[in-house]
Amino acid sequence: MATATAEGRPSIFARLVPRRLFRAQTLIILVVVVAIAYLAIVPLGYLLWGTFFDEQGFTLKFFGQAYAQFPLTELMSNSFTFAIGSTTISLVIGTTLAYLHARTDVPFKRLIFAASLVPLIIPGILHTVAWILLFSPEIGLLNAWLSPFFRGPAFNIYSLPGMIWVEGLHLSPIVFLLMFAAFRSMDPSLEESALMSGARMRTVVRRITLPLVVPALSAAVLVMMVRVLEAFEVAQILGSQARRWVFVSRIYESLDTFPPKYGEAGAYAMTLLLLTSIGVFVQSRLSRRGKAFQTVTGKGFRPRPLPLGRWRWPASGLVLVYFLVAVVMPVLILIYSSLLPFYSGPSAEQFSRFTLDNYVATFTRPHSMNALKNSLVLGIGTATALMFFMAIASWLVVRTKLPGRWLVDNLAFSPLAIPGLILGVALLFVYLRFPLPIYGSLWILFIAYCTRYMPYGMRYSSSSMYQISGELEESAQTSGASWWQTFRRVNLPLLMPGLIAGWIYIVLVSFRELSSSILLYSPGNEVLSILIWERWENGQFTQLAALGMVMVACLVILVVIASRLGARIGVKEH
Amino acid sequence: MQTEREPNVAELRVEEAEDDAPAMLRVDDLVKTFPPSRSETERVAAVNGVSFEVPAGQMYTLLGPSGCGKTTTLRCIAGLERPDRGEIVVSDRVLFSSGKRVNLRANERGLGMVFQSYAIWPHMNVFRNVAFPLQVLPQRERPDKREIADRVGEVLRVVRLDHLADREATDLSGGQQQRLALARALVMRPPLLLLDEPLSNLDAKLREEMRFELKRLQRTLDITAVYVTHDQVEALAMSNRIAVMRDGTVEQIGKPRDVYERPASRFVADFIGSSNFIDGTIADGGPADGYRITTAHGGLRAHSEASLPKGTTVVLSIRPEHVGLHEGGPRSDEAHAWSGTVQARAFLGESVDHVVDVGGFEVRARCNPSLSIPPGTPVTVSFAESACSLIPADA
Repeated sequence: MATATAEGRPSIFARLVPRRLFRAQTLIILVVVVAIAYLAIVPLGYLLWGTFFDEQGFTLKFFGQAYAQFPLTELMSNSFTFAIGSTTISLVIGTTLAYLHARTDVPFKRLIFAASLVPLIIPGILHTVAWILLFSPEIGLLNAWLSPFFRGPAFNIYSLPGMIWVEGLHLSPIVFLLMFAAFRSMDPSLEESALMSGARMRTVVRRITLPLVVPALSAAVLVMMVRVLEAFEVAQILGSQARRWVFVSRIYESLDTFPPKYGEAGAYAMTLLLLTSIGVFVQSRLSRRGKAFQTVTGKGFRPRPLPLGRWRWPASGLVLVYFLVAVVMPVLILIYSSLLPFYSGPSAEQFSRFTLDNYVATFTRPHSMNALKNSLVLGIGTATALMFFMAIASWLVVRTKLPGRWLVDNLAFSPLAIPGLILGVALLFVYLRFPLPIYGSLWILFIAYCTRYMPYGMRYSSSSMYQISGELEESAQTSGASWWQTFRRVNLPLLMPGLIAGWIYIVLVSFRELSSSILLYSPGNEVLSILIWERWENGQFTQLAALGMVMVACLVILVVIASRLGARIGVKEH
Repeated sequence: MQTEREPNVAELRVEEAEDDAPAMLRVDDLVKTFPPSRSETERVAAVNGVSFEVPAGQMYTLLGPSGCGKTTTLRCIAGLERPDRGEIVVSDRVLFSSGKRVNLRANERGLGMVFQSYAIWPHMNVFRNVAFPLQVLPQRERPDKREIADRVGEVLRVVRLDHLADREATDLSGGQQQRLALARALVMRPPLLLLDEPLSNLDAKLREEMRFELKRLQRTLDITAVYVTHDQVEALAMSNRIAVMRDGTVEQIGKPRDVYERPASRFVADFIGSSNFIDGTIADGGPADGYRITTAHGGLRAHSEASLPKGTTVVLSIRPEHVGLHEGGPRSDEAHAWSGTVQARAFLGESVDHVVDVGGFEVRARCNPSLSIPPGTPVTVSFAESACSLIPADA
């Protein structure tokens, strides 16, 4: 290849300034870029300012106040014990299930997949409450049943091990999905050639299979660590009772007093933000490097399942136990509680008291119907706005050669590192000071959800943008179509499957959102998850359970629609 | 890198033979650079000063190995890449000019293009794919529904897809998709058709069929087309003119037969078919009655229109099918015959390739399948004067 002289280059001016500055194209792109930058940058800016500045100027006093009460070392040690413990549990469970499902002839594969949907349809708060009902020292059902064998309660859920168990179990399906993809896309001939070289199965797994999934495993470790560090429900509900403080629970506690200690919350938030950012950054570097020497090829071809032989029945036992523990027990105890007028352990007398009053109350009280409506409006509004904006943003990043497009990409992904609770704090900082009067309305929740789920919208739309050959768009251009005609008639229809998938995912996660909403809602603007939270604080377990089951039902319907749509669109995609 | 050099033998011949038809496309001193990748420091020139003219009604081929800049040149003409410098004019309409600061966007150029992947929109059926270019015309130029239907039907008839108008585009076979892409590019009646390796995704049999189909359409509809390919057989079979490109520059322009028989450089000779290259020096002679050349393996005669002084180092290119081969010693009528031994042979169906060892130098000879000489046999190879082309040694 030849190298050109400097004079051969177009001038900076000619490249940066389009010929017709106010074309619709330029305007639309500008709006999208500004919106992304606003959502990603402004909250953090205010958070930094509110944490490091008071009326007198720069200060570190909030850090002093925050860590005088609760030493940094204690928070660090609690947070990391919690994170490492939960990550280990989720990794062991998730990877084992993924291997069994992807590479062996284990029975009950459908059960494994059903269980993988659990974190999508059972929000963290319901999962946590279910485990309280099973293992609380006072009312825990299993503790009561096991008490003859132990002196006192068998297991205290209000403890660090309790937190680790509940969070680890809740996250295991995510590890399953990550590792399942890795095992599935691995070229089976890599393993088969090891077998042909005379290696035994155990050696193959140890020397070939596991080293090949190391990139996926390390990515999973980092994703899980960040997830646990920012997990709010378990840390707050179980941890505050056990007085095992981690960063998120301290943030919440400093704001849950009167007057709220914004500075302290900001100080805790900055420390946590540093940790999660490191995690997300390292993970993105790892995945980039992983691509460079990828040995795992993506052949669309299903590997022959490995016969488990005499291990088949122990393995299937494992799967059944997991399904029982992760799905059946929590759901059953919630259904059981939702049918009672007041909570008590099961007995003949209790069964005779079964009533649908809690459900009737849920559907007749204007308060709960309003919350349901708010959740739906917010979910649908957020998903629609985000997918449209991200479709344009991903076009910008994937298709154009505009200088600075990588910045748009990074900005859109940056909220991945921001825990929901911190985003809540940051938005409080913004809209308590900012003249825009949206605090106390649904708009502030809308902005919070848009910011939190921007990365998912971007991921869905850019991954489908990458799958569309650039020539499809270029052929529209050479056919005479303008930018907008091309985008509307070629790009949007082709992106649609990916956009719909992303849309439903965002509706789902917005519907269950709690950790940002908890700081930003105001009376009259509650969403469903806030209502559940309030029931928990008031100790109304039975109403909480009924409300929770209604929410689960909504989420199940959404998931079913999603999978149906996915199946239909999948057929058309060839 | 290629520098300014004297126009060589083949180019001179071509310019004499240039058709009288007015130029439909003129590309002048086109330069396109790309930002350096991580391992490089300077911008990379994919196209570095390319100029050519395409007379109306011709099939003009840009031929070269991957990375030679042929596709980038085509994309610059289409308006999909923005050149750094140069001028592109289609029938007196300036599409791009760095001097006049003109750069029409792809959708304003009104050219037809067939992409390598065909780029058939999978969410539209055959009819809607072809109708698209008409439907996106500005309001006042847009034909009404009936005229669109008529014109789409007409162009589908031309490519023989009219019976499939309602078919989903994704249900078409490879060859049908190819013709659909062609129909879509032609429906606008563009002054210029751009073809980016349109046959490379077809299997061998279909490719041969489509080659003739494409040629027939181009000739009967009298379309001017620029055709990009890396397949020399395709280029030779289809083109009126071939421009062989290398490293972002045009190496040789000529009719298919000229480019094949009178390659201007070792690169062209090597890229278009295979060739025996023999280094030598001019012993005596001139353009009028040919040159005598001395080589390390024996004397040869070759013809050239350039005047080359005695002692000039040259390279002789001889196609394997032009090498004469027979068993035993040289016959009396053979002027330039060398003795050697058959080293290896390969049966290729249509021919038999022999590798002959001439005192340590390997000569490839392609013979009729009726001739097959076992390795180890002493043979004679001969080179007819008309089959030897002279290439300057530095090219």
